[in-house]
Amino acid sequence: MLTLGEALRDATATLERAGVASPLVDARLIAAHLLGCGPLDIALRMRDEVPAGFAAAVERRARREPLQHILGTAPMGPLDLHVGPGVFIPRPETEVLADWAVRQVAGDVEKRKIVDLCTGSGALAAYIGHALIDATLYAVELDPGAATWAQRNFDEFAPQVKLIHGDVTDPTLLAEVHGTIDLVVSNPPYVPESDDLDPEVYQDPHMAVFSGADGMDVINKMVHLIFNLLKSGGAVGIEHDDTTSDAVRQVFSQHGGFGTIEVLHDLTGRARFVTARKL
Amino acid sequence: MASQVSAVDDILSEYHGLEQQMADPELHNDAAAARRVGKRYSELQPIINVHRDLVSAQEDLEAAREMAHEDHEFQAEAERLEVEVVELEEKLADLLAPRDPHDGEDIVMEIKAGAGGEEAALFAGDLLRMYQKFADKHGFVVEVLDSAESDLGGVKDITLSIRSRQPSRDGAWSQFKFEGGVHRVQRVPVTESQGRIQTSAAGVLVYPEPDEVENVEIDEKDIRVDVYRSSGKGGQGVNTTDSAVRITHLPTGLVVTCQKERSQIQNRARAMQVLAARLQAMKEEEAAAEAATGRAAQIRTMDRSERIRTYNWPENRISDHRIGFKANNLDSVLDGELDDLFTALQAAERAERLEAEG
Repeated sequence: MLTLGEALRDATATLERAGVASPLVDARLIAAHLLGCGPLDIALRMRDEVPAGFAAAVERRARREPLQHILGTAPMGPLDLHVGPGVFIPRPETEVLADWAVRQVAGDVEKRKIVDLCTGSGALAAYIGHALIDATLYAVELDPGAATWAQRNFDEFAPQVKLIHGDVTDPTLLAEVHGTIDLVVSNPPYVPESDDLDPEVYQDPHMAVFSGADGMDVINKMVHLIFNLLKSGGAVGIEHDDTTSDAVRQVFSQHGGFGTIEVLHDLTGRARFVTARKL
Repeated sequence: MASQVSAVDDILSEYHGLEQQMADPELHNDAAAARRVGKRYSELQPIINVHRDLVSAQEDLEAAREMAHEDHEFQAEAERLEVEVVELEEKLADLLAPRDPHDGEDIVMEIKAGAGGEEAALFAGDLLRMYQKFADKHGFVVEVLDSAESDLGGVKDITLSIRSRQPSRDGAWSQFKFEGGVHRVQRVPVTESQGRIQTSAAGVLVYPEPDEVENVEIDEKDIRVDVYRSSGKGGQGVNTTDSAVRITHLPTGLVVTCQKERSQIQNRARAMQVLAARLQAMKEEEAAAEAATGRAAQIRTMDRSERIRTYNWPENRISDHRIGFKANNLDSVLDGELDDLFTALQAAERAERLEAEG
């Protein structure tokens, strides 16, 4: 009998040969998913039998199908969001922005009108709505396919979120709440067009990842909507590429309507977010 | 005896105070306070129960003695109750005996294979399985916070959180606190073709994880956080699945890793809790070591390099060197039958504690 320990060792080698970035972690996550336990609790089952479906799932992963498509979920703080083909898979650093957002408004029940632009799977809005059940939240998504995933996640984790189908580069969007919003968060598409990234990345919707040659197309245009939405003193936090910290800060300073423009780092220490306040 | 009476009175009034607090809906708005009150309440419960049984046995005894003057049949009843009263008094004295204030707490345990490659890792895996079996049998929940396995399914290094399912005065610390130190194994390794007996070892580190650990302030400037960092881009340009977080506490050099959660930010939060528990334990160990200077050696060693126990496979023998415990049932001990050993260690600790107080 092949033990789970042996199967994990073999799977790790297979995934490593296939060029997967974190072969051991992925093998463990697949096993834990099939066993219905925490990813490390399999350390307590190393001499057990291999769960059914393990080999097939590892094979899919070796063909560089994103792990989250195989598992059907992606973690976002305490939530396991539903994801699959057709929606952007949330990345860990977005949790830093979500955590910042919750801390911005946590102390003040009056300041809980929040908009998430380019919500994708609903990651930011679901995280915030799950943490602050009395917050009023709007989530905007352009891609109807992605919006279906977002709605499913809101239904499960944050039913108060209102999902809006719309384009964040349109400054008149959500006109009925202009000037009343306390906080805008966004993880917009921001990667400069490129064809040399890991294959998993190209299985996310292209429009959710890439944004022109410099990765700034959407951010350049969405600043007007952000300004219109926020009330005076309202805050914005926006995620961006690791090459565009200066460019994003410039967008806010050149607009003229924002102050307190600051840099927020992800847990690797990279400048990955810009925060600002409407004057 | 007089001091025991007043100790019981103190506990009775504390218990009634807790009861009142628990009846107040206000308390339940503060989850941490509610948990604290609930925990203390269930810690006191056994004392309250034994005290109540004792009072009623004493009353019955008095009544039986009175009746015995008129009816000799009550004499036997009175004698039975006398024995029961003595037993209950002893039980109560035992419950009121000085205790380790951490006994009700959860723990973090680290098992690390010593030098000796695969054989040491397999032995560390045997220890893991032994603790896991014991925990299962005694209502503790084991969670893995961080782990590195060896090629043959052994354990190079594993960090566990062990918690009580129900709050109890006999928490994980009361059971596992004596496990810290070096565990030695003597056997013919499966990796050894010549059939020669080898000695290798595993180190165990145990510290309590109190509820109140959030009170330990950790300055963000004092820590360095490391997470998986792709060689290329971060962000949307890479699909990162590794959410492990390592925190280094710069002033002490302590390193805590957590990869239990799939979420990076949750791993960070858990690692901070564990770091706080370690810092707290370190502070208390320093204070205890200072207080213990000049006193006889303690059961629970502060010295992580001290050899505390030997597991001898060929002779099916386990020996604990601190209290001279020996038993020839290694196979069942490894299957989680640690009760006799733990009871002996606890008795030795209690004796030591009484001596220190006396």
